[in-house]
Amino acid sequence: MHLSRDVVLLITHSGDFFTIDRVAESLSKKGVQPFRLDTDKFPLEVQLTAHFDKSKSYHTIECNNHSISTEQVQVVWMRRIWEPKLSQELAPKFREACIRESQATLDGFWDSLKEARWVDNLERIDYASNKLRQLRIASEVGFVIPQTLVTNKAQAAREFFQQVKGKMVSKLLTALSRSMEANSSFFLYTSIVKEEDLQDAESLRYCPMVFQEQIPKQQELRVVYVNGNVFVGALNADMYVAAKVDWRKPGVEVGAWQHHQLPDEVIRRLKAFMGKFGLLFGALDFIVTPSGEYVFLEINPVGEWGMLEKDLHLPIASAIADALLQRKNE
Amino acid sequence: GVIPFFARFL
Repeated sequence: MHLSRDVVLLITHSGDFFTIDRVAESLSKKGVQPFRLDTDKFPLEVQLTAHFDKSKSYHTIECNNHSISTEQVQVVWMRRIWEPKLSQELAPKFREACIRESQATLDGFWDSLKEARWVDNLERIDYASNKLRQLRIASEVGFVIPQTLVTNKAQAAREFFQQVKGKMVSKLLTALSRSMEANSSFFLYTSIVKEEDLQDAESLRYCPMVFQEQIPKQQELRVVYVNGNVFVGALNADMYVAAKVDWRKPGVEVGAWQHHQLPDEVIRRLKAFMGKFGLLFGALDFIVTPSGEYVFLEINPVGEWGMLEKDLHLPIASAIADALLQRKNE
Repeated sequence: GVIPFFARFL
């Protein structure tokens, strides 16, 4: 069935739930038609066609017995892009080529939507995903940031450990592959580095790492920015003593999310920060220290917020729908 | 083979 009206395209994946449904529901209530595209279902369950000739181009998306032409897409919500999921029946030696070609097709397909309003633009998301750039710009707008070292030099890591008086954490600039092995996933969360770990620091020569001073925390904040609106959830650090370092780790008893009001000065800096990246959406992490200082950690331009909507009833989905439907230059 | 430093925190 070909949908006849203009649509808002929701770019996501088959594992997405709650947040995507809330935004779709909010868009429907506002009288527009959402169309969900699960990127990992391409090419097996989603069909894309792109026609080009000398006078025009014409593209269609088909999935779940519905089809749209990209001319109908006025607005795009760039929620997530996942790698194509191919079945085991495919000969393994062709798997990589099929994935690569499918991803290239999707990348090309987004170009057919260049006239649409995106939340957010893919190039801006990529630009903002650079964690070192985030720290530089955070510092420029006046945020406090942790002392940070990025190095593949063992001696530098050891000296930094002394500089921060042995209170050091580590992380990577990029995500590990979602699955380093079939049926299991490995993650690297922000981890405490102990002195004995550094006995093996020579192995940094194979891959650099990010080291930061461990910031004492009273609260950990997830701040969600949507087109000038700010939504905040706070976790009390003493509620998840076992983790102390990374509340995002599964199985960490985080306690209840709580409402939190950011100081005006932090909000002003936040808006300047988002303005520098040209982003309409972002999920940011901050630490509030025992002395009440707000320390910027990072921004995820496509970060999570469902727990804040669900537990704190913050109207984030509605704000995203409003941002999607706002006219250009409004 | 050789294990990079980050692997100890996986």
